[in-house]
Amino acid sequence: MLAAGLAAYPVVQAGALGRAVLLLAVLAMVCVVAAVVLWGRLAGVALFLLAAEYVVVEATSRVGPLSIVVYAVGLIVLFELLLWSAELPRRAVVDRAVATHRVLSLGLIASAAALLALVALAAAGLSLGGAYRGALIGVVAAVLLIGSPWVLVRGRTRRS
Amino acid sequence: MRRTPKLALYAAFAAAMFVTALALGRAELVALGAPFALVLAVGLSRGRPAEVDAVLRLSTDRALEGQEVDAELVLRAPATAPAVRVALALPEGLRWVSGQDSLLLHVAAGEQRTVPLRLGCGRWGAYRLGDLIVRSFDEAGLVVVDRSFRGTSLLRVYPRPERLRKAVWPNETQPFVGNYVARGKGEGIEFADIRPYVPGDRLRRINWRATSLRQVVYVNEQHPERNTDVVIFLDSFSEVRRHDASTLDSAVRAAASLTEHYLASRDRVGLVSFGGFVRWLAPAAGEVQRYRIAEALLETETILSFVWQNIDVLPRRSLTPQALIIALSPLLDERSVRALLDLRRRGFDLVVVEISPLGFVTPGGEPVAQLSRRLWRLWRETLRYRYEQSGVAVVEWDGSSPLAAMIEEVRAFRRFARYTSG
Repeated sequence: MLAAGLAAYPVVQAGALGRAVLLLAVLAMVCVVAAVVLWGRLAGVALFLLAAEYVVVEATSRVGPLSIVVYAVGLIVLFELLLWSAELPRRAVVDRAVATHRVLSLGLIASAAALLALVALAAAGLSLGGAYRGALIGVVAAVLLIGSPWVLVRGRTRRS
Repeated sequence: MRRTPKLALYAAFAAAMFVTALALGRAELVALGAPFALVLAVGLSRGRPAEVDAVLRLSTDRALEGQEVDAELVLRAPATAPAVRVALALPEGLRWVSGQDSLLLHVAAGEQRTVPLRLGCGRWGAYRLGDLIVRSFDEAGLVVVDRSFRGTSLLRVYPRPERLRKAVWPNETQPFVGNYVARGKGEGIEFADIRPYVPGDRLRRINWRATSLRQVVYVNEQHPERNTDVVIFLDSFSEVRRHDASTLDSAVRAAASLTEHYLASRDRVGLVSFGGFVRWLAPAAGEVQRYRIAEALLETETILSFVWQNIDVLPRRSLTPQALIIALSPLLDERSVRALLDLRRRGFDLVVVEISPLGFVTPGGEPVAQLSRRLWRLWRETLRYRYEQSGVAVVEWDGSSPLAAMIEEVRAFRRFARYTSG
């Protein structure tokens, strides 16, 4: 249902590009169903398709800032659930403590995602004093955001 | 330790969103990728998943078919393992009564976590249990540590014997005390004959009626009670299997039932497993022999072999003279068919229980398949006739009906054969 909501919202907001966005939505839903049935296969494709829907709508018509926050939270919650369910075999005994821990983690992730999305939106609205300074700050921020997980992974691999 | 596909997906998506935001000049799009980058950053900074030790322990190492056995899975971790997936492989023949092949558990730091399980023993055999694969996840599910453990717990499931009230009586007995009335005369309970008194006879044996009639002292003679040697001849050259039942399973269960009965009657029982791998146990009595035969039955299996075998490979002490040989065979392999006929020619008292393979083969629908089946049945009837002509009692048993009914058929055949030959 969450996936259906995420797929349907951009279609509703698309306007003139409704048919193209609808095609992306249908493909995304097929990939989500496949991910549920086939233990996570095509989950990545589904994520990119859902994001692409939103990007098309965001690029062609302004959507409210709240919708970005909600959409971001919806995406992370949906894919956390999808990828967790992909780890579970068809028949398994699941500890109550594991289920409780995962529900709590999901709540934390959703809250943190909402907060971070708001911070990102607020930062997007800042005036950075000139195009060059803005570009420089943007590049530094992008490198930090993309590079820090990579550094963490490398560090963990070396330690192991 | 290895990375999960989730890590690569999240990293790629966050990077793609940031690049798209830069390319389109829409900084708001960073908000879509930021939560994924956050999960990566937080998850990877939390440290390596805990390495979990796991072992499967059984409450007992012996059970009968159909019994349930308690087991426990014990897990230990030096640090908290938020999610540990344990995969337990159960061999064919065992099933879960409570528990599953896969468990997802939480193990706290320093805790010994015990999970109770229960197994059902469906089929006899010796099983090695405890092969485990343990996968420990980190907090965010980005990195996993896999460990495998080789099982060392051995579970012996013995065939459940059917209780028999009567069994096949031997034609000849042995010189030891037992439960069978021997043909010879000596000390016993059953009246055999009377004869004139000779010095040394006990006075309590004097038959006073005969003595008063004939005016000569006569004494009673009795038939002594003797035991017998029984050899269970198990044909393990071939078997026919359907789903989880086979002719060999029926043969082993019948062997266990017959062994129980004859050993309880103070007879000596031996075992010959005649197949690709020949093994034998010389006849003996007592509890020790019961366990020896039970262990030997557990190791019975069909081993494919094209080597010609005959009974000359068996040592003399495995087939004692005048022993009753009960053969349990599907009569599929020519080697076992000829070996049994050879035993008869050598004068052994032989009974053949044919474990019918017909019930294990699904009849085809086409006319050719039906004709083949009829020819096969005809061939098997001819084979039975060959044995009957040699004076061997042959009984067809489907493996599912009570063993007592089959025993009764054998007894009736041998009674009839004795009357017609006598």
